[in-house]
Amino acid sequence: MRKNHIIRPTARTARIRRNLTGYLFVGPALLFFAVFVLLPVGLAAYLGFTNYDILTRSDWIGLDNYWRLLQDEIFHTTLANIVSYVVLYVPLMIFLSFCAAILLNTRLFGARAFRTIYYLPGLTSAVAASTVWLWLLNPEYGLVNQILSYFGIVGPAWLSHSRTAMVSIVMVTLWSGVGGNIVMYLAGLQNIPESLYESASLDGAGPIRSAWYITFPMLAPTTFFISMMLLIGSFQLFDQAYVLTKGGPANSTLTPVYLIYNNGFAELNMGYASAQAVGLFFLILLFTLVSRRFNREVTVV
Amino acid sequence: MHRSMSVSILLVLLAFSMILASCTGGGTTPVPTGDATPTGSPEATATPSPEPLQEITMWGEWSGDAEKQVLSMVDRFHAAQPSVKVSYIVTGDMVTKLLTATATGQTPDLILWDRWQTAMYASKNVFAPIDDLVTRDAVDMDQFFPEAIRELTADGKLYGLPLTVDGWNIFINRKLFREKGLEAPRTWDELEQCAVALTVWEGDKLVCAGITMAWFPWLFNQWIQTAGGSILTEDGTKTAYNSAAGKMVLEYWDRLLNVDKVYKIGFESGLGQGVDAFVTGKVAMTWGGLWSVEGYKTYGEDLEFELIPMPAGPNGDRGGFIGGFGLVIPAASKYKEQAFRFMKWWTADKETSLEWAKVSKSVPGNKSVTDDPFFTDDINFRNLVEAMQHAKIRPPYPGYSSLESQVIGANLQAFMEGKIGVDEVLAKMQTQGDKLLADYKQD
Repeated sequence: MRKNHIIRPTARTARIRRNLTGYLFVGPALLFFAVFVLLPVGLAAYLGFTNYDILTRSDWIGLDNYWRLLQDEIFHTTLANIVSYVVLYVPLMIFLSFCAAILLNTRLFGARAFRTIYYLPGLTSAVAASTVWLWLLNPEYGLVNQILSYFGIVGPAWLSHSRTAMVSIVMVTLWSGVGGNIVMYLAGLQNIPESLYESASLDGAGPIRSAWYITFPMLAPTTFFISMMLLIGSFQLFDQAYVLTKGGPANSTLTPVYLIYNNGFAELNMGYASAQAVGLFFLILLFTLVSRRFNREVTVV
Repeated sequence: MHRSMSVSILLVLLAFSMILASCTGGGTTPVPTGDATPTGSPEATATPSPEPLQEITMWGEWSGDAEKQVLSMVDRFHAAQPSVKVSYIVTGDMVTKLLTATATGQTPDLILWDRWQTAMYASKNVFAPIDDLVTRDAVDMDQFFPEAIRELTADGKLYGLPLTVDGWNIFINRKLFREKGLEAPRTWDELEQCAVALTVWEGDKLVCAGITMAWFPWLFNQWIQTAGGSILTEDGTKTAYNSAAGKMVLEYWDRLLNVDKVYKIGFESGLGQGVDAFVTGKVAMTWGGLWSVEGYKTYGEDLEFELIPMPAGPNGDRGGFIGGFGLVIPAASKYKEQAFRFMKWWTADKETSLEWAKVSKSVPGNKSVTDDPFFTDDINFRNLVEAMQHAKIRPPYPGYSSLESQVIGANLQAFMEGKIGVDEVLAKMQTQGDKLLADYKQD
């Protein structure tokens, strides 16, 4: 009894001390998160209900900004644009980086050099690379259409027609982003035990069956992480679209982030811009939840 | 399940914060007083001798050669008077920085300002009106280009004085014109004839475009002026382009692009500087202003070019666009008097204006100097000064820049792609444009 009486506070003290140490470790990060993430999010959500113009006013106007959002054709266009971009970009990026990682994971001659080559575009500034692509995609003098012409194909005016502009942006962003995702897949591949492939091989599975039944399921957590990051990042597309097409032609590549920035800083409608950002938030939330469900089903299968 | 949902929400929250972090000013917003009362008295300016040296700060986005030109004028000002010292600070992304500075009261004393946004910022009390100072010093306002003054005026108050004027006009390749025996076009019809004569196709490949049409959607404002119409109603509350004049412009563009085939959509995209389509002779006529001249001289050693005014429309109507920079004083400036002294010296003094024009190779906001041989002996300056007589500023109403880019520019691009007809596009632009203007008016 006496013993227990002595031990209990000691154990509690140790636990408190342990917890305190833990909190001290995560404290700075949590503080940073609260000040630079939660606070701006909360403020923006609040500003969405005001007519805040940065300089002179910040009056509560209820749901006015949201009614306006529902009728804002240009904002709806940007949402449609970004959804079409995400639907093209995310699966293509996962497919390309997955295939490339499998190839680069082999012990083929030059695989290491190719890893570096694929990663290089990711090191280039998005604006500088987009400027080079502007020239590459010129319909008359660009390298892409010159190469196509050798095969008798008349290439389109890639960035100047609304039907090809978004596809061109997908192409450029795939090129610049594939290296980083390959590296993540390579890290995942190296964690798959060799013994699984050996067993499969003994059971008569070829490379494609092994890839489908071992590699793909074993990489599900990596795929989940990459797809989440891609979804979130691609909904925020701005710099490449701005440099390559400035939102054109005919608003076909105008993105919500560009519109939000323009409304907030160029037109000083920060209240309405905040409401637009909240709208975009819910769209990303929806896609993330759908993607989460899809990823879980794939993993279960 | 619950935990995974939380992870998803956390991830999305992170994304959301990244979108919004830059969009939130945060904190409370002090409202500037907008006090325009001169800090110095008239007596003080009349007796300059014992005045202590006062340093003022000027912000501007001009860097490189333009910065050197500014600094040379600052040196001249220092030599001309002993009491005000100007420090010029090159400020990238100035509008965003100005917003932060205004919210915290830490503004400079003077700003080298792209005039077109004056009305919006003046209405938010960012700038100080200078009417009292202008009246006190009897500054002759007739010496300036009136449209430039209109651009610096909001709600009947004047917020600055114009430093430069420029506009979008046409550059022609004189060598190509000479080879075809053509004269610089002065009307729509002549422009079309020249464009047709100068265009060269080799099968499906366009070798030389008669005129660049890439900028047409953003130049609709000046085209409709030359057709006798206007882009907005006089009070700026509604669009006015769904009209006979608007239709006339679009039918003319359609003829150039689809009947005369003087251009191909996307022809010049990605070609700039040394491989610019105009510099390399792939386009015989293009659009630009004085800002293009140095590039043409640097990259086009053999290029013979001439800047010509916007051609007159079928009924002889003239039009064009005038923009440029001015000097404005922030409302929170502590040294408005000193800032105004420098502003007045730089813009309202005829001799200094001419000196500035020679240093910067620009047309100053002070039109009284444009009869000097420096302008009349140079065909490009002469033509630009002529163009400025007919040019109008972009409408100074809230939401106009969004209207121009997201409604007019975007719909006219679709029109030029052949996705929508003349009547439909004008009707669509009217519906969308009127709604956008109404939304901004409510703000």
